[in-house]
Amino acid sequence: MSNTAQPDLEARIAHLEMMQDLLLRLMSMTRPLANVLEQYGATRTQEQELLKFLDELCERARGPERGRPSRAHFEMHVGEIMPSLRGNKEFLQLLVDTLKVERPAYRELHDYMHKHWTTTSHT
Amino acid sequence: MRIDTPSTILDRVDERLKELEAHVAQMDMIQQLMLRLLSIMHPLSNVLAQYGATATQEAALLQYLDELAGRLHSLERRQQPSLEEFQARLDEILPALRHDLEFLRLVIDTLRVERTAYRELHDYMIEQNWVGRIASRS
Repeated sequence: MSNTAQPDLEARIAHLEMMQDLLLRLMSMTRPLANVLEQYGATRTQEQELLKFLDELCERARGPERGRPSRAHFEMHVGEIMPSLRGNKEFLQLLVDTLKVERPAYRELHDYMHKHWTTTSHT
Repeated sequence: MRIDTPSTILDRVDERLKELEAHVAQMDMIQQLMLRLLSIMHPLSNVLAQYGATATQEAALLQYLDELAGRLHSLERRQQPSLEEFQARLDEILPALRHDLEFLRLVIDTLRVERTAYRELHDYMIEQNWVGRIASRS
């Protein structure tokens, strides 16, 4: 790589990153999680229940270690809220991935999941 | 003053390149996720609504796109979609947008972030240089 190519590449990547951050911010305002749930046939009640559960997980992820959520608990509870999607790995993965582009509190939860559930999470 | 040897400089460049590659891989992963999420937000319907299409016109266009997607795998060459036919049919469905090349281009671009069946159709359009041919007309 030439001496001029590297700074050029760095600048292009920095620009792409800036654009992507903007897109992520804009996307987080379009309620992507609600769209995913709708796409998978969730009712409004199920959506509300799931959001409440996620809020609870956010709190617990920030709390003492013994109370922190596990992937097994997450999957079991999501299965209880949406029985027709119980064990649907693709849906569960998309749910986790979508948190990354949701409101900041859920992004924090996504980071927790990524850090602690890495054996099964792809992001 | 420390003077770097050529091999030290090369090592540093290699290291930085690896970091940049990891960075790009991460951006690529996020982009794939955004594309996936975008595809379930009915982007084509949003574009059509923005351009003033009625629900009937939207249904007619989606039906036509389904038909085109189905014809992609036809063994008969004359069955395969052509830009001329595509443009003529869009003009029929949305007469108010006749000759609007920007709209035509936007419809094609939007197929890239639509459901999987339309993405294949988009790939075909790109392969056949439809966008380049539209640009040369404007």
